[in-house]
Amino acid sequence: MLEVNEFLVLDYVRDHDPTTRTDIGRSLGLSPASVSRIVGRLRDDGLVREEGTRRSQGGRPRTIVTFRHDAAAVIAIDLGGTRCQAALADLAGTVLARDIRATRAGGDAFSTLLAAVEAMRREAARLGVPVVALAVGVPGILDPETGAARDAPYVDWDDFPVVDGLARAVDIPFVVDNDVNLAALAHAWRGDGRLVDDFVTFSVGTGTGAAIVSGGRLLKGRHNAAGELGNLIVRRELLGRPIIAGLGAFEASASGPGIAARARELIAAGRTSVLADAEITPEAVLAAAAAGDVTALAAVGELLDDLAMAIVALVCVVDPDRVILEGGVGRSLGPYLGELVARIEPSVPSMPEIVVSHLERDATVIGAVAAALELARRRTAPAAVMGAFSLTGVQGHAH
Amino acid sequence: MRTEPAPTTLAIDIGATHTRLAVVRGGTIGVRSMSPTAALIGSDGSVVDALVAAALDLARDAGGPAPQAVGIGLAAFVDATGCVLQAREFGIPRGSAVRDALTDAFGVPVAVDNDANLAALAEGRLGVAAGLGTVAVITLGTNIGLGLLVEGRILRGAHGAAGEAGLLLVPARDVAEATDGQGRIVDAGRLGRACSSAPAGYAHIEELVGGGALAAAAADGGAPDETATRAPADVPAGASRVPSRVLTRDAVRGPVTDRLADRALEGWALLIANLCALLDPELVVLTGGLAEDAAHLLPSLRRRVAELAPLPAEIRIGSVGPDAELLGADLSARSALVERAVGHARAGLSAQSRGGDR
Repeated sequence: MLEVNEFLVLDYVRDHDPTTRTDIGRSLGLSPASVSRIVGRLRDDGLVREEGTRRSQGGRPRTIVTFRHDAAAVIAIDLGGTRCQAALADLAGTVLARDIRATRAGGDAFSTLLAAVEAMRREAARLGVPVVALAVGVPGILDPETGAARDAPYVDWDDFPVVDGLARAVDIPFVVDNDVNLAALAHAWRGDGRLVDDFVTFSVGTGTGAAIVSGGRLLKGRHNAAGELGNLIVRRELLGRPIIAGLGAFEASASGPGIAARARELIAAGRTSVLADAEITPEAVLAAAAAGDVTALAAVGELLDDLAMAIVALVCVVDPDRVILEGGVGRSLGPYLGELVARIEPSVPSMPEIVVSHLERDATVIGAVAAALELARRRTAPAAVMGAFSLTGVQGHAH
Repeated sequence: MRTEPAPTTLAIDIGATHTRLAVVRGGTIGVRSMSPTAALIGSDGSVVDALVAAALDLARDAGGPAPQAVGIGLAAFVDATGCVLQAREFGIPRGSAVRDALTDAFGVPVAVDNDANLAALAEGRLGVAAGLGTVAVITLGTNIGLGLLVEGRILRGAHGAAGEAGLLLVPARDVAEATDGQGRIVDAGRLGRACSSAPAGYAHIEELVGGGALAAAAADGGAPDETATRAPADVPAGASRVPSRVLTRDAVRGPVTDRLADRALEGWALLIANLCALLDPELVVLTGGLAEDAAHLLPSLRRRVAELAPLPAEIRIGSVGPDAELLGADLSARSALVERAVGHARAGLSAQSRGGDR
């Protein structure tokens, strides 16, 4: 365990790489003797490197101190409903290796997850770097008390003890979080939410969910379920009927399967469409709409109605600066942004910017890299400075 | 260490119906005054001049130490610097006019915030929400307000407009143009009929189940199947637009009261269920006059929310009472006092360190 000042020096070097002993001492208010002692210890631990010298104007030559981002690696995993994406990254977050496999390739989702971890560990061993942390994104809500994943139908989990299971199977510190929460972290770090304090990552894909960052902090809620918009009640079907849970379930309509179901309904009701003779998948509906198919466009229009209602609710309640559309369907909505804005603008007090994610299919895995790096960093931080960082999700230790 | 004497503040709450002022010493409300907000509106359409006069009168009547800070809550969006972002029809001007006028009159720090935020702050520091993580405090008055607390801090959003829960959209069928040309009459099923300014096919939830809407419905006989033709704003000025007593336990039971209670419960349950989906709060607090009147409906409300939300929050009536906004304004005024002191201390330190560098 590092002492407080060692952690501060390591953090400074990481953020100001490359730097010098003089700059470290001046910025942190440490004496030259302290800096020399601490940098020496960090160098012996393999966390920083001292190399060459830099001559300041008229001053004495200064030793350059660099952060050894190759000293260790972290594993990041996005366990999705259909595919499991893994990455091995160095301490600067540069991806060293990747692995993509079908979620059910290893039988059940959890076995696939373990196989992906194992593949990345082999890769790390080949490169000769120790793995210091693991972060996993899952399509469900992590119970903050038990670490079980609930409401994760896309991986067939309901109250599945994912944190316990990982603790038995791996011997490195790890954190498990909701996939959309990790996508939001990715956007704050290297995506479309950089330098924005109030933004919503709104994921529309196989399922629907959001992560709300307000005042620079991710809202978690009582059950880690803040932003789980699948249960919003916004459908027109509510009109004049007794409201029953499930009837208006937002996720059932505002999602990939929802848009496909809508196209099927329209065609069954006699509307003509190029989709009539094909298998109606969400991708097929979006492609047909892009090609001008009127029925597919109607299905997209209804999806936009639903999304607009949900975004109005988000804006009225949390007032974000930006809404980032994420997920397979969300990222395909670029051509319809104008229509979406037109549906929202008349109803809200302050209009956020609405953008499509630029992180392609990588948001969750990039966020998992960030979470794993943060975990690695916290593991080396003494308790006194830990409070300054916020890391969501549920952490685990090897049993 | 020297103990600061308990601060004296002037707390003001400008509501759509009433404006209240109070001198607060050490967190306890002393002398107070109240007037209809409409009576404060001057020839310029703003309450500011009359408000300053009323504030100076009250401070003089109170005697004792002069207010060291002023806290103001009002029913509008307010940014972090106390500027009103949207003028309101009941005499609240846009911009910094309210803040600046009180600053000029008293020469002390003035904090301006949204009234629902202040009610939430009071419940978070002094009431049922103390020590909790995520809390949604819904104010049920003429309109519907929402203050959000995350670990005791107010969630403001990017433009000070967080918590405008009254604007949530509910699907509603257009029935007719309103007789006065202001918006449309819509039918929202169990949520009743009302005059709406929302986009076609929808109504804002406070247009249906805010206190003003319920009062208008009561005046129309409370029947969702009869055409409501008046906007809530048409209720004569000066008359209370809160459905006074219509939802209380003692209200005469009958089809009108039952229908209104059903409409209110259904609408509030929908609002709370959607807040659960968005924020997953630990606790939803209902505050404001209407909430206290409707306390006996709480068991039904909890049942309905549990039907609508898979992860329902606990629901309670606020414990701070009808002075929540005033006590929140006092807390906010005291924070402004502390901030100024910290600001002075910082300025002093940086002056010293500049001196040291030379």
